[in-house]
Amino acid sequence: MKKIRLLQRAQVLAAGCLLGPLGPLGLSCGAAQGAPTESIEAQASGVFLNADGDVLTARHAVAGCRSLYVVKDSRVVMATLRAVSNEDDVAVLATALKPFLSAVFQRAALPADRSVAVFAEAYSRLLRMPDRVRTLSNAITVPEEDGELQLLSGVKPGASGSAVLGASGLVLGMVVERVAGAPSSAGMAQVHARNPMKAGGATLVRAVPATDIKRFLRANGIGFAESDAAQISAQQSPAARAFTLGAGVICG
Amino acid sequence: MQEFSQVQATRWSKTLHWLKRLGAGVGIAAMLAPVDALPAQPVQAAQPPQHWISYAQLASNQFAAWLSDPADDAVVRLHGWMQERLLKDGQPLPPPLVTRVWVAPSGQVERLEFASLGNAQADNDLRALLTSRPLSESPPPDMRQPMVLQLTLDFPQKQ
Repeated sequence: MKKIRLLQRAQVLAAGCLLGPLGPLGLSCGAAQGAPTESIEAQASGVFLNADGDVLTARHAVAGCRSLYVVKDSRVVMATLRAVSNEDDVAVLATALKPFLSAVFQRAALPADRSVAVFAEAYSRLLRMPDRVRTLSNAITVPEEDGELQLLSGVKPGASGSAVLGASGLVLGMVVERVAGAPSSAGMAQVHARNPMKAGGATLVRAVPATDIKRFLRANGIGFAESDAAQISAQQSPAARAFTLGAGVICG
Repeated sequence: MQEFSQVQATRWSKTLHWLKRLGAGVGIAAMLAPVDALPAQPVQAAQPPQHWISYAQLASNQFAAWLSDPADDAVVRLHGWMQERLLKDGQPLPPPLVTRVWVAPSGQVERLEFASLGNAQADNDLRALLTSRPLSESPPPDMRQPMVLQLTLDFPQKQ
């Protein structure tokens, strides 16, 4: 099956300046480092790992970039590549941002015999999601026995590097690519009929599981938290937490 | 909503430091102090659920960000008051300020209580900073309110 990276064309709207695909973030357009900008369209997503401002993202989202920027709450800062995995589609950026909260990875493994409801979405879409505080899930996991993490999800380009959040607000993995030609919409209809999720356009999406991410972070001495304690209550929105933890990644 | 007991409130409290970067204009940064930096208190109540703690951290850090915004007129005035108080009047830094915060389901701080800073404008600025915009998430429906946040005014070493 063909794998499709979930990157988005770069569009940076800053003080009325539209930069083309993969164009650099120019100071002439008013997007100076650390400065608030009018509107930022990130190509990929990321998730804050710790209070130092390290951001987890997909390796392919930062490969070949001459410069890197991370956007959070309309604030853009320059980022540097701190670590890149040779084994998984994972990278970590160092930034000067101070997150409100950092990701907490789930310690326990996902059940191999059943699906669980999760939330995953591109930062740029979370930014404009009108019902964010009321959204409980938008995807489900596909049971896997080999430790892989795949979702039935309608995520759009720009979701590469976004966190897969469980109902308790714990990070289960990170979205990396959509698998084209995977389950038919007819096959998924039944699944969605039993789940109160948005079924529109859902396809199979591959994510790097938390276990692999944690192994990579430990090997590179990058701080992170893990727990099995719920970080949000059952009535709170994982979408809102995903937005708190998330950031946009711009490849210049 | 049920108000915490004093012991619970103490365990529930977070400490914010307002930091001034000397020579850096209007910048006021803030950060959470480590929990073990809080004064020792008798521990009688059960640890709050993790999702309450997580939300309190979110609120504390978001408040800190608001208090660090050099583009905000209220932050500039508050900073000026702190500086004048220290340098001109020779007064020591104010003692830690205990704030009680009630958050509506929308994330908006709907009620805020704290002892006066001794300056009406500073009180108004602090209140405006913490109540003028909503927090990014709704509070846990089961969380007891108010949250009690301890603000500590401080001037660190030059960075």
